[in-house]
Amino acid sequence: MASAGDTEFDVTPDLFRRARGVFDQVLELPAAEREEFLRKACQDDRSLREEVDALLSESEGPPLTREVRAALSDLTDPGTAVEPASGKRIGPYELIREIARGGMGTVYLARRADETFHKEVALKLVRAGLDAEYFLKRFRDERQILASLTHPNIGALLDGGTTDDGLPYFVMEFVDGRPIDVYCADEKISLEAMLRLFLAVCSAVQYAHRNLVVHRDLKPSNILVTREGVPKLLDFGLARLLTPETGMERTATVYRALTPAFASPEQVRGDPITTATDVYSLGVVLYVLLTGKRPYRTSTGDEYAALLNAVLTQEPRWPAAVAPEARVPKDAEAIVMKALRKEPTQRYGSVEQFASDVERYLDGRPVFARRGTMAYRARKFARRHWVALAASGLVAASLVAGLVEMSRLRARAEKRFNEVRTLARSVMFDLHDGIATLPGSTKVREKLVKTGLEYADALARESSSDPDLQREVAAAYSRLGDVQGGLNSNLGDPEGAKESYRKAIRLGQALVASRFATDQDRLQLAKTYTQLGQISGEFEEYRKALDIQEELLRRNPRDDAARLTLAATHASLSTGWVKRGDLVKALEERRIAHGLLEKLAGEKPDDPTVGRDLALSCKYFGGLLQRKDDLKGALPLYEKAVAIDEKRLRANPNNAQARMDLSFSLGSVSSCLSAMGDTRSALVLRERVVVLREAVAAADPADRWANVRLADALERLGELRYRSGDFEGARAAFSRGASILETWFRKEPKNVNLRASLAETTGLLGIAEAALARRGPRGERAKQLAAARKHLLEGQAEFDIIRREASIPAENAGMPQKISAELARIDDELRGKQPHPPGSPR
Amino acid sequence: MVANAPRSAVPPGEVTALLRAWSEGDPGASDKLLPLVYRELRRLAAAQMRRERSDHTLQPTALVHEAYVKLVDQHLQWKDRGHFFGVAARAMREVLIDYARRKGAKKRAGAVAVPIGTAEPAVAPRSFDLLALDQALHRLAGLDERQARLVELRVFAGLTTDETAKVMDCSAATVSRDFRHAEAWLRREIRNST
Repeated sequence: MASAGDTEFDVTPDLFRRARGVFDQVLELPAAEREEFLRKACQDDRSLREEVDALLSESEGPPLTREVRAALSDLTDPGTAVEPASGKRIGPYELIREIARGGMGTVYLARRADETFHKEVALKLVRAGLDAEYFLKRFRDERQILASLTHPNIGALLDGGTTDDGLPYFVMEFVDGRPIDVYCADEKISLEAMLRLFLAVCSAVQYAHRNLVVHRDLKPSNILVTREGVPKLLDFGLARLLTPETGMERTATVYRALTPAFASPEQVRGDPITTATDVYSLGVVLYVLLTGKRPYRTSTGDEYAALLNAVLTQEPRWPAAVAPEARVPKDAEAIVMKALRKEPTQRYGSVEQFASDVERYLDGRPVFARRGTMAYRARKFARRHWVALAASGLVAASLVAGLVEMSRLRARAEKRFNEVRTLARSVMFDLHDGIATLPGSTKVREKLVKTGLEYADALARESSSDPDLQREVAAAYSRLGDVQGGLNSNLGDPEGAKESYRKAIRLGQALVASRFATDQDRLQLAKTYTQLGQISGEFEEYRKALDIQEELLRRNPRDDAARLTLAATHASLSTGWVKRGDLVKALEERRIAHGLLEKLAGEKPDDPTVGRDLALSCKYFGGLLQRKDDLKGALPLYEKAVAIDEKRLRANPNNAQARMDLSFSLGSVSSCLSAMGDTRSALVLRERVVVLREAVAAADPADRWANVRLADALERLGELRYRSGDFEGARAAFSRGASILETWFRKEPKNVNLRASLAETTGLLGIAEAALARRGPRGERAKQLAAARKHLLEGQAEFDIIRREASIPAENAGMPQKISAELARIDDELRGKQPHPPGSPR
Repeated sequence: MVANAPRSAVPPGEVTALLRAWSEGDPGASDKLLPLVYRELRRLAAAQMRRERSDHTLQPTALVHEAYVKLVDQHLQWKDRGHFFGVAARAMREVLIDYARRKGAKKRAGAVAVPIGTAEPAVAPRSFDLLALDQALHRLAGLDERQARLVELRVFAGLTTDETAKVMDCSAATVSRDFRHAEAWLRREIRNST
């Protein structure tokens, strides 16, 4: 017990109490009022005033916890004696010598003690702080994936386990090399050679991402370069294995495992790790390679914590400023800084894109990093992240894990549960769009669906008393159904989709019947009925949807959302009738939908959603009329769609969707005019379509849909040019279209529609070349005809393959015959017979 | 590499039993707990330090949680768990101060004298003085025992504000306010004593 008068520092209990009271009150006040309050509260009591002033001046300092940590850090003596490693046994391995010490633990050169052939391996012993059983279980689960990473630039993971002491260890391929930054400095590598090294590293990371593994701890010391100049990446996925997913140990372990100079902002915050994290870390690596320095600088003090703070809040120093002697080119600078953005969505969407930009720089082409960020691209990146993230199962797995833990520790986990749900919601809702643009990786989509279903089923079980949760799960099932239903014709699991929709409907019905029911719930249920109707072809489902929507509208005639969805239901019914072959009924439904939309658009001429829906309706409506050969009726509808879409594009010049929409509207007018015989005008419009789609495809070369539609437009352009006698122009268009299709076909060799389109375009190319040959000088003719023949044969061969394995799609049905006819003609000409009268491809 | 050591120096059931006994009203149980927990923490800290590199160090939070996982049966009520953390925080403090004393002595042995009384102001010691903190805490305990316990829980056991509130059976806002004051007071004390 302190006694008054011991030293001048002792505070009496009474003073302590009073000072505390004033201190607390002062801090609740805004700064301006504090002085006034202090004067009144302390009046003449000098010792009180001094005490409170002292306390107040100390209240601004760094947190105590951080200071304690820093103090401990300072105490650690770097020269701690190390036990000699040579000869020690760890599991079945014998240690030879220590190779390195890193943030995670110590690495030894080792070999298997029990085998006669002593292959050398690297054994990494991880420091303490982990539950051995837990680690072993996770390692067993993950081992498959990690050990399966086979790539020339990735150091293979061979084995793992725990020591008797409970320390985890990993056994890896021994890589005799130097860290990439050391290698480049030592060997005085040129900028270009260094970038090519970096590209090899990127390809390894990209490979791992495709196999659903994120590295999480990329840094130069994890990227060794051998004597032969081959980079090898180490420690893939280990960071994840060593980090507990949940629970109290997580914070400490995460804090300890971070390498602050290379950690991404989201890692520092403890947010979920995505492939964007690797993009960031690769950015730091590139930064170090280019400048020889680190992106963040801290003043001395608590290095660790200050660095972490810098990662979160400081902008990285510009390479030109930090290392002017390195003469980093502006483009390279821009690339690096883009990868280092704090917001994952502002970085490159994938390592592949990062690498492409580096390649573009090496090729001398303009790099994307220096263009302005388009809102569209940012959105695309965000979607892609979520898809990659969800696809890697990380989110879903931790969601399910988190969920199970939650049910045991309800009260405490309430906050975390909400976080988990929010995360889940954004995963599921961004899934839908991202999926459509994912090039060909069916395995990824399947895994997505599988883990998504697990998540949804798990949540559904918990949801019976929680209407909000029911809503979310119903929406999740609905999204899953969309994915399963097959947005691309490849992954079609209609039975699975129906099942998911039905689960969504069951939940929706329960919601609507409960006392928590809202109109939004009813609308959502109606939407799900429509989705089920679309995939099952059961019109009964549409009727149910219409019932709900009409009832809602009766109660709120001004409800625009309800009107829109009612129109959408009629539109779906129209499409359904088309599929059944009944154009009359299809038109009937379409007229209703169209009428509703026109009315809405009249009331809200500036509403973008309504505008877009109306334009789409014009196109569908026109399309139906065109099928009934009512071209005169169709044309004004198409022209109206063009007007709406042009207005939309003018309002949002960077919106790729608006651009594509306009291209479709123009395309419709073009095909209508062409059917009416006005090839000239059709041609001009079709050129515009190509220009628009080129712009979208150029902005995002990984956008499959835009590229395939561009190829489509090029094909039609070629046909129109051919018809106008411009054979050279036709050839150019077909050639370009074919090469685009070829690129994408290579990624999806099982896609019948792509193959058919490619076959058709190649055939048309041959026909155009033949026409050109005939027009040209006699001397060249035989050679050119032979070239044309080659293309025709290619097209024919592709159609043969299709016929063998499936059947030729209806829209390409006439092509094989045309190819044969042209081939016969060419054969005759080459054999010296008279040329036949010119035919035409259409 | 290292001789086979048992997973825990203390049989897991023993701590749980003591905690239960305490919650059932046996005051003596609490006294028996501290030495047990202290022993375990020292063992864990020593194991951790053997493998530490110079830029990473003792992590009190992790150690306490590790000890908890090893020593306590997971199905305890929060009240009993809270008590464990109270004890563990105390024990952890002992471990750390002990460690600081040993290490600090070694460092001081080779220290360079800092000139004082020259025209330039003496440079304040870069590192935060743990021993001074310990003594300041003792003094704080004399004036407001609750606050001292709170600081132990937050700083040495690494509990969050919410967790601390649960252990001390008060609101998180109270914990925040108390801690804010305690921090300032301790810092003032330390500054005055160096």
